[in-house]
Amino acid sequence: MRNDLLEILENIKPGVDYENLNTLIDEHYLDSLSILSLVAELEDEFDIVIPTVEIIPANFNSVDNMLKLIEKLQEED
Amino acid sequence: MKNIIKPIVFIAILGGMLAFLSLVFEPKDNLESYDIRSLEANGILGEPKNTIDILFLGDSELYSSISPLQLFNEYGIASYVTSTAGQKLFESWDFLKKTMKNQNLKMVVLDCNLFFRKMKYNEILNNKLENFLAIFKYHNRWKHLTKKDLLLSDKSYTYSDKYKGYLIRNNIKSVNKYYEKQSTDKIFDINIENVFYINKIINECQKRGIEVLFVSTPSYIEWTYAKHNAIELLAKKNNVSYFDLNIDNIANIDWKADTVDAGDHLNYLGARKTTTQVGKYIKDNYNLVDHRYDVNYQNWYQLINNYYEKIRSIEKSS
Amino acid sequence: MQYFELTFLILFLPLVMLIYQLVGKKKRPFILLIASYIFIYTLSGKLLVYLLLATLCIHHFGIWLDANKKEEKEQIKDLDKEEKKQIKLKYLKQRKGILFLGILILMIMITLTKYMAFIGVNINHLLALFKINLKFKLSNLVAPIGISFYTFSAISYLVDVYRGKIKADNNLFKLALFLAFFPQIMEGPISRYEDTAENLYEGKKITYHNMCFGIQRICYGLLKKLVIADRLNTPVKLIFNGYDKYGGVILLLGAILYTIQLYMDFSGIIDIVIGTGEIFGIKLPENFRQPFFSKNISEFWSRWHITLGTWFKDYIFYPISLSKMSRKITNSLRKKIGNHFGPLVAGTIALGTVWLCNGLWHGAAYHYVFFGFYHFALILMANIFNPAINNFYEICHINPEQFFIKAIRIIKTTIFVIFGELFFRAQSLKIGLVMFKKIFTEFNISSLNWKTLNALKLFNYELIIIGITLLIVFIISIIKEKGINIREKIAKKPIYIRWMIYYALVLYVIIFGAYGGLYIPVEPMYADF
Repeated sequence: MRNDLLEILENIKPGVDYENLNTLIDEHYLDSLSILSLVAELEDEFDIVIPTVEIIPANFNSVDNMLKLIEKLQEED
Repeated sequence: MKNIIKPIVFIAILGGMLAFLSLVFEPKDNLESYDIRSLEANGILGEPKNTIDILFLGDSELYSSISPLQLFNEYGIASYVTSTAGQKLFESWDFLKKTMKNQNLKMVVLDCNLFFRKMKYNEILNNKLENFLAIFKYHNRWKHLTKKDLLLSDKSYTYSDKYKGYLIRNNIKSVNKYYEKQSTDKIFDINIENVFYINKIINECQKRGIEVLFVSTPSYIEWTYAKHNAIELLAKKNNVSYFDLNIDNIANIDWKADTVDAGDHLNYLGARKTTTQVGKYIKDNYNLVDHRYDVNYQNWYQLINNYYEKIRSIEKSS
Repeated sequence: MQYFELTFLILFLPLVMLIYQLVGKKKRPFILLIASYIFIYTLSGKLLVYLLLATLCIHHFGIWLDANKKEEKEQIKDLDKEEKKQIKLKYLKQRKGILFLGILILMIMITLTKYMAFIGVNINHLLALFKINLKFKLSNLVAPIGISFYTFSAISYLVDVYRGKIKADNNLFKLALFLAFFPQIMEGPISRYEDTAENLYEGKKITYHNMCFGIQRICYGLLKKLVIADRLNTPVKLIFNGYDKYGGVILLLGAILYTIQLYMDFSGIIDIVIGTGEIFGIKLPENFRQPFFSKNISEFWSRWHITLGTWFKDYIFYPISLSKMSRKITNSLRKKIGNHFGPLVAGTIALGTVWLCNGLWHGAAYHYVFFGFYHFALILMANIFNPAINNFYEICHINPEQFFIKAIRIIKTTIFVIFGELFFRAQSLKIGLVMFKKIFTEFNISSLNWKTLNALKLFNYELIIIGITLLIVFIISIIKEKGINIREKIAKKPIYIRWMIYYALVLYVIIFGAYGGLYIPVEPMYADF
């Protein structure tokens, strides 16, 4: 799952050190348009629905947090 | 415990610094170069000791209505007008206190238009603080501090106004449509803060045996019967006389010719009439020394000559 | 009473602090609430009534939303999947209605105070267009001090309850304090219930540490507000009011000075607000993060008035750009034109709405709407051209993070911002356009001389003070930008150095502040927005 996610991110905005950064939103590596793509990709790939409430910086600042969010949403389903 | 001591020490030192800076920043003279505003009114500070008998306190209505030099010339009354535009009662109180330090006043005249100007609590508190620590009032003087300031020299006031606080204005703007005002029983509500300061002024004066007089100078725009009623009530309560020039138009003001701004303020024509009436009222009702033949007041005549010359030149040109 | 006035700083605040500290932990939030209501009352009695209505409204609607959720849970307990779905849908619809009604009430209140005059004018224009001879005279009911700020906090509370992010609060007092907390009521920051409400209600003791840090922050805010912003008030006013008398250079100077004034005023007040919160152990959200170090406009908006930006993002941008419709559009486009341009349509619709709201939020006038669309256009352009620009950097082997390139990007952003503020400050859109044109057509550098500067009340000693103070703020900003916590550093210094710094700061503000005398007190610039 981690590799799938990394691939998606690389596809949306290449050349970012996704593995080690934990300020992807705060430092503007991902802007709001990237988030829109990302949400769509994640929903397709992992068969989840990401509600608007969950779209907060904390959930998208690092790959780990994104994975946590995905897992949480998968469980809820 | 340590946590309480530290802030107290901190504030005490700060207070000390502010007190010291207040001494530095306080104007050492009442000149414009010392950032004094309302120079004319503050000229009272430069009057020789114990030479002024009557202090007129008021706002722009007053300095447009009463000419101390004319009062002296006609009745021998030695007076000064410390009114400032939009004066508030706490400022009047400050002027009174400052004046009393140097002058042995016989009488204080309050222009009653003062009674109706609203004061915010904020302003009152701010004023108190500024009086307490002058740095808050005069901090802008950092641009031109003088040697005198840095050496903390004693204050000496050298400026006095050539018209003793009166403002000569000669333009005319008539009242557009004049309506006779309707008498009413209504009483204008005077704010409690204002009443507080009026009482404070009266009490201080009575304590020192200074007469107090309320005067309503002529103003077509500001004056109403309701205000008159309120002042009358207040005067009665405090056992103070009240002289209203608006009733029956005692000074015979011509609202077509005697005003500079369509009925709010008087020009020199209106002021001349008003001053005569007020002088007459004071002469008739109070026992004041006539200083006209007093050797100590001979320097007033120079100012008076200059003043009447100015008036004559205005009359010539119009 | 204003935050930068002596009556607040040396009377109201210390008195509240004293009483707060003396009473028990449980009573402390009530002291804050009473103090807040007194503070608001000194601003306007009517405003207090509006605030109380808004408080009752969100309290009631919050509970209603939660009750509806509970009812739903009861109902679907023993049902099968299909029925569950049906019932859930029914309740969701009800909740949508409740939320809508709650927001509607808040919006009506804000409209009455802020937008009536604007609506009136526009109706009249419309009627005139159809040759109907009818004139409405609508005027705003009260001066809308702070109303936009607490209304946004109130809306966020309702939406968060609706979304299930937070539970509705039964405690009316806690909610009341959340909306009314006196440092925040005039200019925000717009806080979220989940972040501040509990913190406000805790009744923490005032500690020596918090008090020092709070007062420090307040002094820094006063430095910005009183020494710089208020000093610039007169020149800015002279230039913008007499725009027809000045050439392009002076108008550009006016726009620059206004930008400085606005930043110093707003961020200075926010420093005072956050510092005041800090004294009581309350952490309010930051509203600024060195905005003039931004490399592009969208970064600027994530550093300037941050709480408003995140509010728009959470409650307008994402709900629109991730609505069912938008998702459909995004998904189909993404497959055709890729991940960068795919979400552009949905994103742009949402962005446009955000900027329309942002413009109108600042005030009901077309130059504000224009200001919104100006920034919208800048961000949209960046969105479209970003891939090309990045390619360009790559081809030319330029590292956009390199110091020199970064500086150019920062200057470019600042210039865009300054022109935006020109329209923001101009008395109307028309005047703004005239000024804008003049900057490019009547640019005559020789008109910038001592005589004009003096006529604008920019005397040499005023300029020196502005220069020195801006330098102080600039240096502190660089230190903060580097991620160094300067305040902790000072706190670790020995007491005599610390105190000397504090005394210097306080005396600097007292002596060089542009207050009293000929300086007219300037109301916080953002309070009316």
